[in-house]
Amino acid sequence: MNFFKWKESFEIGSVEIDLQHKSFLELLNCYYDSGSGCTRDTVGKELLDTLNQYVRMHFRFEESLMRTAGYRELELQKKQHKYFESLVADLQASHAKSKPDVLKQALPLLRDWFLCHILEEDRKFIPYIKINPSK
Amino acid sequence: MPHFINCSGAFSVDSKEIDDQHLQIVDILNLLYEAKQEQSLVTRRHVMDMLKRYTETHFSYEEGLIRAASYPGMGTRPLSRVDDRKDQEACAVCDRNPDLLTEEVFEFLKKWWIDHMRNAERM
Repeated sequence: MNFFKWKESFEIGSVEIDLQHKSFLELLNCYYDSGSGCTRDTVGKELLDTLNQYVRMHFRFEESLMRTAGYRELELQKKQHKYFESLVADLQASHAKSKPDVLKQALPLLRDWFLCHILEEDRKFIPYIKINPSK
Repeated sequence: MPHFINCSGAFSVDSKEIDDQHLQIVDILNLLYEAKQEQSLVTRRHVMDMLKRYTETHFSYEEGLIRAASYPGMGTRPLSRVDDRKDQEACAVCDRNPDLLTEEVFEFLKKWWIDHMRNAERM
């Protein structure tokens, strides 16, 4: 069973952003399926590195869209993004120290935070986006 | 990490819409460069796809403007801008083989987009 299942109701109306949100949550699924990275294995480390790189790319992209659109809540978003990046960094540190309990607790937190952020914050800036390519 | 291309305001044209699209594409190129430096295959593939979609949308928009301004009677006849598709060809080749996304390809893309933004002033 998937740790997270994407639903259409999570879409916020931008093909690009929706695709990235979905991909990020799929990466979380991959990590969960790999045994939550509870062992100090290479697969878990590579997935965490990918997760970290992907989330940073995604946030920089969103911030770039907001900057171009002159979105007023950009600074708030940047703070929230930074906080989430620190959670992922903590997860990497826990993995390196082989702390399975921390990892198990962290995954639902990452999932729930990300989902809340999508539904509550990201939805607000979609009407401001000017360039919205289709798939 | 320093940006691969810095161009805020340097290549501004009279259209805010075009300026915004150019800045967006430059930001995506910077993200692609960052993904390449970090050797992140998954991220790189996603950014490549994104670059293709944004480039396609941007070209269609510019071509629509050119068509409307210069050739009001040309209807749906395709507009030939072969040079403007070169960067897409470069991306398509690299997409098939990520190892081909070398510094030289990035330099080509950088030069190509800077030339494109300069030329957009003459549109």
